[in-house]
Amino acid sequence: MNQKENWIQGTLNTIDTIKRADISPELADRLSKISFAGGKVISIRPVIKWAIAASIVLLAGINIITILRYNSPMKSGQSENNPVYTEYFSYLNTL
Amino acid sequence: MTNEALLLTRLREGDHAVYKDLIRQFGNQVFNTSLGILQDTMDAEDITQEVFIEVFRSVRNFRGDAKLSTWIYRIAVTKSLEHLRKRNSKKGIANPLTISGDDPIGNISEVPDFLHPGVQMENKERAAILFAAIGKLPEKQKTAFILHKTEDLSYTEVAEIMNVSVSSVESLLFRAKQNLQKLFEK
Repeated sequence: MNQKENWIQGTLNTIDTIKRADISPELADRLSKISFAGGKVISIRPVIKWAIAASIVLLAGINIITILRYNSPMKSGQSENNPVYTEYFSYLNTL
Repeated sequence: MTNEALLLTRLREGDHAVYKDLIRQFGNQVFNTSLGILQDTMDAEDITQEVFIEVFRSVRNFRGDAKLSTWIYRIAVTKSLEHLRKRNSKKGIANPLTISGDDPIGNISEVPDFLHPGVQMENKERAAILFAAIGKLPEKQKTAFILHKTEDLSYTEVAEIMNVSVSSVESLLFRAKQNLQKLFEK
């Protein structure tokens, strides 16, 4: 057997030295959270979970900013001339 | 009633303790099978989760005509191969199933970037090359090779999972080995 053949055989034999990998604690946690509701399996991927959380934070943030701006005293001449602002808040005042 | 029959009955009844046992018993097998086929830890984790969701969803329809482990392995292989096809089509890599012949696809000239977590440090480089070559094998050869070599399953068990004869498995493994040698020679 020449050097190249030895190398090929050695590389092929590497498969016999590979140990089975353990699942990570994160995956174990994900698997344990697969839950059942009315016979339906429910599982939310972490990415989706974070996307939902980020959407809630963003929505809450926009609402808080809007409320703060609405309640803050208007500087003279700042917004009266802005047609979008005037239209939006005149609509809110009618509610 | 056998242990497996009892386990299946309890699974069908939705016994949570049994579900947890099942994950403990088969979690590593499913993850390692997916990891061998997909060669990406994050993808293999996602597929492992999908496999168990599928197992729990379809356990009521499982007739028990195969061993539970065979059925779970089958789901793992099917889902991993489906994911691999999707990933390859996104990357514009040819699907080995659509190519005639049993030859490997391409060569392993590019730098391998997957390192199996179960590899010993001294074999790191060779294992990376080996997995890059396994990745180039046609689907059936790859599946048979992974199940037999990394999962340590017998020819009969591999045949049951792949739904082929034992002689087909022998032939698949023989051609897989030949193809790996060809790839290493390139």
